[in-house]
Amino acid sequence: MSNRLPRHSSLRRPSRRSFLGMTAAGLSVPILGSCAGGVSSSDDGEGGGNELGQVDISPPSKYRGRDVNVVMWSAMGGVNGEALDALVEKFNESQDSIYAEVQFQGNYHESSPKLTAALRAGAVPDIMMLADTFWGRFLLNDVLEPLNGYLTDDFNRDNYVEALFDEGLVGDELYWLSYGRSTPLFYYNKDAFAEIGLPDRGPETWTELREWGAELSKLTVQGQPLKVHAFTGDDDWQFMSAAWQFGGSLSDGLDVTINTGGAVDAAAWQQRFIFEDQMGYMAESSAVDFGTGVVATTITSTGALRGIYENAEFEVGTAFLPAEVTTGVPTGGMGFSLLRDVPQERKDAAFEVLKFLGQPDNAAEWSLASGYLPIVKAAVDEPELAEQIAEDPNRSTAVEQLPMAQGSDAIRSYLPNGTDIIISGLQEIFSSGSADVQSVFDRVAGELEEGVERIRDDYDRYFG
Amino acid sequence: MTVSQTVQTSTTPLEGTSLTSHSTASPPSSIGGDAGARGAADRTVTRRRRRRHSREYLLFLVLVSPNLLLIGTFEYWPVIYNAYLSLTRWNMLSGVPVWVGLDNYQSLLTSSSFHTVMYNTLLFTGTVVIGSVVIGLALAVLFNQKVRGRGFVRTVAFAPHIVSGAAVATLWLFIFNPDYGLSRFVLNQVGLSSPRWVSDSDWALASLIIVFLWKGIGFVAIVYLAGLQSLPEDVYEAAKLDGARAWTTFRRITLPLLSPVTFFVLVITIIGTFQAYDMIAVMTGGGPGNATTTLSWYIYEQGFQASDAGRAAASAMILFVILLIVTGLQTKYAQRKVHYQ
Repeated sequence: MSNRLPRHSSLRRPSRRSFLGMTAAGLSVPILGSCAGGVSSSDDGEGGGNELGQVDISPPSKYRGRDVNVVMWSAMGGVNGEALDALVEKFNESQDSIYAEVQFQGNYHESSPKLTAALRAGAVPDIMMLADTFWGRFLLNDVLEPLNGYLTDDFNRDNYVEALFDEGLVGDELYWLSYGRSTPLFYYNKDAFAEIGLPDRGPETWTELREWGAELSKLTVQGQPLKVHAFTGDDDWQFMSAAWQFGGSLSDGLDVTINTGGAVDAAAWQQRFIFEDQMGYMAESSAVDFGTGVVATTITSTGALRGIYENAEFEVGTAFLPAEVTTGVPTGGMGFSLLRDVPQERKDAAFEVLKFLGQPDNAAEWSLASGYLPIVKAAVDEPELAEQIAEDPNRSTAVEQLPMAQGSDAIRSYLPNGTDIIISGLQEIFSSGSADVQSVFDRVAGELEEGVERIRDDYDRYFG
Repeated sequence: MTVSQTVQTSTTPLEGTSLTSHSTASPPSSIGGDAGARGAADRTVTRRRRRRHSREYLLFLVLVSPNLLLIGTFEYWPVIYNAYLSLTRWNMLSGVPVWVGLDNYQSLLTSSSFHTVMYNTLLFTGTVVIGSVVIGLALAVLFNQKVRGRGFVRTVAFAPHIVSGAAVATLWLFIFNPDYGLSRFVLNQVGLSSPRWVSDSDWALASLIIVFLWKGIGFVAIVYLAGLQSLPEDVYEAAKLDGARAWTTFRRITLPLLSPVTFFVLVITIIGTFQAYDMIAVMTGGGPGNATTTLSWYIYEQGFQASDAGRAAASAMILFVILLIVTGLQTKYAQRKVHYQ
């Protein structure tokens, strides 16, 4: 018996070859399965008109059983997120056929890839919050719903600040409805300015800021010289305005211009301001640094005003952006888009939510809570907002500066990693005094142009 | 013999009756009378075996299929599909991937930013690996001394290992803050001014290395400590009798005896650093410029910032091949050089 055991068990055990065979068979099942899935889903995508599912939504009991559920993916956390939640809750209470739910998906950089994944998976939100530089990539891939058909006689372009509304237009068709819109503002520490006898206003030009800087940096904070200006290293929005102010641009359409003229001048000026003049630096968070008082001035969004107020133990001043060769003020912020292949019933319901948010009283509430610009014209007549704008000069700065503002250069809006490439170049310049601006921007331009090749055809379909 | 017995005992409960019937009912084929009878018996046996075989294969399939399915779906299939994607151009949004052959590899290998990425990756991995081994071993030797409170110190040293990378990174961002961070305070005490750590391209990678070492070293030290404590006493006594000095003993006895541990630490650390992502995401986002863009971060950038699935997949394949080579080399080296007890 004992000498039969080995043979015995070798009989029972599958041989190495058959084991491998079975392994291969086992493996090929999921592979074939996935192949099949891949093929069919892409076929659907090509055909169009297929109906996208919805991401998970679980209405609380009091809203259960309504005709339509609508999901909004939001990129707003903190105070702004709470304000948006409150408004959507107000929407749910205002009627009884639609339930809307806000789902926070992280900042724009995080939520946008999630939408890509959701589209592949075939289950999507009904309303997508997209930053001004993020909706373009979805437009070019034909996934956004044209919105003109949803506008009505009493809810249309006329209700909105036209320049902001028009940024969502492609030709005459609306694809992106402005909501949390902003411009950059020049923030300055009024106490520091007063201490050395500077006028109570922002500098008119960058050159003037540099003159003032010599005085400002004589002040000390926490034992170190007060820094004059915090440059932003994780966004290229502020730099774009500087490029404009120095007479240049990042791109003309999709033709890259960052390595020419004013853009190069602006970067070289800022690099000198940081390393030769020792007045500026690249901040990890310019709004936080400014709020805590380690730097006298910075440029950041109107939307940061509330947060800065909460931090600052000094009097906060705001001003128009400094000019140089010319003025330059970009708009920014976010709006909402709907997705083309969602069933009509859900798209209709989703637009009801957007309409509700665009009512003057709700738009005013949003601006009050967040600090974003009033996008709906009638909102500024709402008593509370009107009062605040009248009382707080920092509020009116943004509103007064708005007529000068214009939308981003196309390279930021349509090339998915356009801003990332530019930011990477800016960081190189802002973090090293020996980086040669021209050659850094030549490299940046090269990478941008390489990316443009991939999107040019789609861009021309919409804008050509 | 021992092995197959073990196998049999361990499988018996699973296979139950089929096993019992087999061992009692089937005579070994070598026993038999005349050729015809033998042939018939053989045929019967073969048929039975075949039936039993197929039943057992079926059972085998049933038992392994959940694991195979899981591993196949979540390990092998992604690798295979990734290899396919690396030969295509696709932005993950529009229709279908377009076949482009080796274009992605060609553009990667000729791009200067990719060279910087590879340089960063090698510098980062190399420094972290060497640092982990040297400091980890030194700590382990220290922890192995019979001093008071060493249990506490060991725990403290190990603690960072179990904290999540994102939390560690956030914490260190505060420490590194040049305006109000702890590092500024400490450096000021010794008369130095704090660099702008993560926003200075000369310091950013160093910051990451420091944090990565800080987080990983406790684990390495504990592994080495376990190794140290399992070393045989007798060789040390012999060395002592022969009058070997402490350093010689360490170099000639401890190090070689610890080589399996070193091997393990190398594998773990190399793979860990090559895949470093969370801390880079929180601390530098690959910047300033691309000063801290390592291969794993680059894959993320290409995939989720640039929406370039092809290039991301090609970079991932390069990472895959590198890790494959590293593992292969280590295995080969280990077989020759590592002393197992």
